[in-house]
Amino acid sequence: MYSLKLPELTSLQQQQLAFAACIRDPINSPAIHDVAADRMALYRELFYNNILDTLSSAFPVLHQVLEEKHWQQLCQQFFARHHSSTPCLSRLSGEFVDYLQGNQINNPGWLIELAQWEWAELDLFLAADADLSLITGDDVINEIPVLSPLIRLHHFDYPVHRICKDFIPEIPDQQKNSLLAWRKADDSTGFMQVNALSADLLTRLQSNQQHTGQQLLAMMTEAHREFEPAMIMQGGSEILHAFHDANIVLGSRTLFNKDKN
Amino acid sequence: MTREGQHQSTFEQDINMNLSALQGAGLGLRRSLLDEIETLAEGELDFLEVTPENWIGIGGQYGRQLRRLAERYPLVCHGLSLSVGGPAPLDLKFIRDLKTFLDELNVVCFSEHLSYCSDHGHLYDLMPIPFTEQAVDHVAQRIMQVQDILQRRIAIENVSYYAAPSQQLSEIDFINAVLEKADCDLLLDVNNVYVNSINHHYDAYQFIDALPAARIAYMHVAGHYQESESLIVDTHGAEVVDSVWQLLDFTCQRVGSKPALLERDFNLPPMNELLKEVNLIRHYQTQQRADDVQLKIA
Repeated sequence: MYSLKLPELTSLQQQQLAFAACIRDPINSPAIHDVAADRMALYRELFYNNILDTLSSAFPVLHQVLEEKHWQQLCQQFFARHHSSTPCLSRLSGEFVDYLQGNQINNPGWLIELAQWEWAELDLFLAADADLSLITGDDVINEIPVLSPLIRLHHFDYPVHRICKDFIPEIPDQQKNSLLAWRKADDSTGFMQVNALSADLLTRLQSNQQHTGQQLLAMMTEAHREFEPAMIMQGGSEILHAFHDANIVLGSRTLFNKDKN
Repeated sequence: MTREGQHQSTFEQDINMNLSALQGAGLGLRRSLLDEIETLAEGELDFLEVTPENWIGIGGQYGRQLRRLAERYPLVCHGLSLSVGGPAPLDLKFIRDLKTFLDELNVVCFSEHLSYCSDHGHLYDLMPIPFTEQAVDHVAQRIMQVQDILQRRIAIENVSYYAAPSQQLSEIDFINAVLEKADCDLLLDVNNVYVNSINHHYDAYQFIDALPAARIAYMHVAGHYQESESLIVDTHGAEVVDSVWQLLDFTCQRVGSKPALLERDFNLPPMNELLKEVNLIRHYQTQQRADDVQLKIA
């Protein structure tokens, strides 16, 4: 975001920044001499409550499991310090997650992961539709599988999908929790925990430019020597078809002309 | 003809063409109202108002529902985050995205608040612009910049305010100076006039009289929260009060039957309650038309 620096500021800009500062951080900002304290308090209340309501509804589990005081402290600090760049209030929640990642002091390890997982749902909800013009077929084995852009895949240390008031994990799990959220064909959001092989396949699909489904699975047999290659080819092919049925993989395409050259 | 002159004439054509599509009484569209509005019979609502920030780039079911409604109803857009009076440069990428959105949905009028909502970042609510000559120049220049990029004339709304920092001009002089200087239209929020008249001790009727009627593109009515005898908070969370209906009645008599809509953002009642208020808007608009006819006959 654009940075406003003294001393180039006009007196109007200085007046406006001083007013906004009193709203963001009333305790640490000098009062405006010609604004009554109760009116400034009203502005603060209206603005802060708007942010608090937005974040509380975007992160219902996080809001529920944290002490109210802790939750409000996070929201207050965020509102005081963060310079939001999105014009869309709903998307402010994504900036809140980024902010938490950069300011983790004293927060339990699961907090940021839970925030990321709760944001995934809203993020998918707000996202534009996928561009289907690339898709030419549905042979996800012999052609190049096209992964939906409307998926969010996370590998968490904590089982954040199970967190609730009665279950707060004390220590990280020994194995990663690979969690997938995606937009289904009926526009609702799906959630599932995926095993290590499926997670690896999804990760490969995310960066895949030119390999067919079969080629991807063959590469996976190299990376997972602990499994029989035939098992990966067979199981992986079933997973690819299941992903296609679930709208996680949208279809297939052939090589672009430019790829062939 | 200068370049500016050419733009000017384009805007004039736009407004004449667009605003003629806009008449009667409408409703502010909220996501939670989508399903019910889709099932309404023709003629219950004459147009809808959409907050573009909440819809730009949205796909899925909501995106499709909005596009379907845009086929059925004339749309006006009421922006929230342009910060047209703000201290930082305008967000040009956002304005270009906005233009695409307005063009795609065939939006007949775009309005924003005579306010600012950002410092170094967005604060998502309306702060009071200092009523000064310096601010008139600043905000008018930015409105013109927005009109230039959007290639259309825009309407600017009188906002509710609870403090007037660094005030040198009266609110009415400030608004009129901006409208004149930017040569833009006015979105007259009748509720805001009432709210401000109580909070800042002036005569709402004189205020309406002092506005340039010819610039009014459309109007808002809304409910508010009376915190104390001398303080009203503009919440859009309650029924429209009698005093505001009376002021709307007066406004329709003075400025003619302009398109008007009900804003309701919180504590949403059942749709039939909202439609009663929309019909009350119509009542005051048509009463005005009947008066017109009588005057002409006389």
